Amino acid sequence: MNSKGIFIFIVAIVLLGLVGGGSYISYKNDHVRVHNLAEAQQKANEVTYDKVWKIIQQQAGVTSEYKDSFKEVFLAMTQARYQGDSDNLLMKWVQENNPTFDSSLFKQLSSSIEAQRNEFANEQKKLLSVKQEHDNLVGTFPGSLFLDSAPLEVKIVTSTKTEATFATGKEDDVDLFKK
Amino acid sequence: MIIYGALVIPIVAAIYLYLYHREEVQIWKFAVILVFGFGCVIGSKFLVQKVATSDTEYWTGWATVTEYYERWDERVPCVHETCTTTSTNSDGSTNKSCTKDHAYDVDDHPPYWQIVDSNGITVRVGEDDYSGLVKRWGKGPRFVDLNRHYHSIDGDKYVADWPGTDETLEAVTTSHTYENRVQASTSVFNFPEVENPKALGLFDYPGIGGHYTMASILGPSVPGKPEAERKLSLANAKLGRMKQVRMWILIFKDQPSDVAYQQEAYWKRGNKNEFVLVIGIDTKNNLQWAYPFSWTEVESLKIGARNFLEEKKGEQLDLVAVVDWLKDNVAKTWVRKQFKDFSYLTVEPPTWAVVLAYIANIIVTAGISIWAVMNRYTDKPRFDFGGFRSRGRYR
Repeated sequence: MNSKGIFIFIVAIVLLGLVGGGSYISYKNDHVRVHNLAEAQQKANEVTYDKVWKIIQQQAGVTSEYKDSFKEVFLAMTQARYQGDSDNLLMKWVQENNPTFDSSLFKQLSSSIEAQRNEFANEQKKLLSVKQEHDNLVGTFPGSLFLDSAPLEVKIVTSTKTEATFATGKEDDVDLFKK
Repeated sequence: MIIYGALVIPIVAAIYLYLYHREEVQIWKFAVILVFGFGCVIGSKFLVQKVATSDTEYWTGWATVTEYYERWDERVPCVHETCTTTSTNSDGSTNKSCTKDHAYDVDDHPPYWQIVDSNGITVRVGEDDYSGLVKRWGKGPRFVDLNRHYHSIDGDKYVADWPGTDETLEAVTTSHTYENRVQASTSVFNFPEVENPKALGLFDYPGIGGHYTMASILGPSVPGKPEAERKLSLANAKLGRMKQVRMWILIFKDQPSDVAYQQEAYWKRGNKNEFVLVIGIDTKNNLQWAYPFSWTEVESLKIGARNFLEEKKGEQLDLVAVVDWLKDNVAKTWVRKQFKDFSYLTVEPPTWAVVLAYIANIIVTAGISIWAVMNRYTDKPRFDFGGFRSRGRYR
């Protein structure tokens, strides 16, 4: 090989080296970033889950308290009003204005449960997306040359029922209102 | 990453030239082939990624001023060269004498009309748009002397200001590009491509008509639609910049609710600043179902919108009431999704783009290679001045 051949060889090697070195640094950095993102997202999921349950529990507590308070007030008022007066009770009941039960708290609770659940599902979806990104990065060429190809372990919160359904591939329990 | 396989093309070309055209191709030309070839591959990768992730969103504001710039002209300096033939040589060629005259040309600037919206964006409009706005806004335009250095036509401008009332508010929609990595990724957040959207009756974005106007309610004509459209345009204009939002209402007549999921997939959940409320009605305009979608993480807004409409199921669709609910609740709770949250997503170029990159690389490498061979350089000197020889020449 003469000087021309050596020159071509060197230029090609330098360019390939630049591309390869650049790719190596880029892949290593991406790997660290996506790994850190997954860890942060896993923690964020725990925080969201905690928030979801606290909001739902406390809203349910307020609703339940309202229901009990309403019941107490309503019974006490009715008893006091009709004590010792047995004439025309039904007529009086119909004619008098009675406090009405406000169902909006239950509607609000129902909406809140759905909204919080959706929010948590979105967070879990993001964790899965980050895992997918990580696994693609380490598992496909040329990332697989530089990086440990072990897939990322993440914790996804589901339920025993869901896991059993997917394990068996059967969903027989479709009765929503069991009595 | 398969796109990087195209790096082989310039290397193969360099080896070929070395083996079969070693004499014609100088050493530096090999460097040109390799550097251009590599640059072409890397450039293709970034260009394809840019194109694949580019998306268009629509910002809404309102016209704050409208301006009319009159026609004017100006002198611009220039040099004119005049040549005359002075003599003819024996071989037939001529000798010329040239003089350069410093003079000026006159550039004519035609009139134009524009509006400036509440987002600070300038939009060119037609004369009719300007006249219409001046008429609606009541006060005549004020004259502004631009003190131009004109030649013979002194053009100035006239400006009309929005008086600040809802009745005279003119909504302005402008389009902007942004990076949407989700649409180009294989992430779980992306949606599958919808086949035959026209056959399903899905909506496309309507496009900006008449320079700056865009409908916000799409679908069949229902009672109260013009009033609701005006109200929603107003709400979009006012909340557009403050809340970074654009609201849409899409109406489907006599279709199952599944079409809403198809619409969501077709629009890939909409742009980052959009809240889309899809409504289904029967042939008598009675409300059947509702499905909101948006990238916002405020789930309560979507559920609230759906619940609000579900309570009215079976009733005549009251679009004005829907718009009133939307503008109040979006103003209170809307938060736009930050798409930088998706910056971790990698974008693989589609197959067509990879093929295109390979073809472009082959063409560029072949072109440079042909140039390198044809544009030969010989060691034979052009001149020989005794001891001094020029080092060679192109032939």
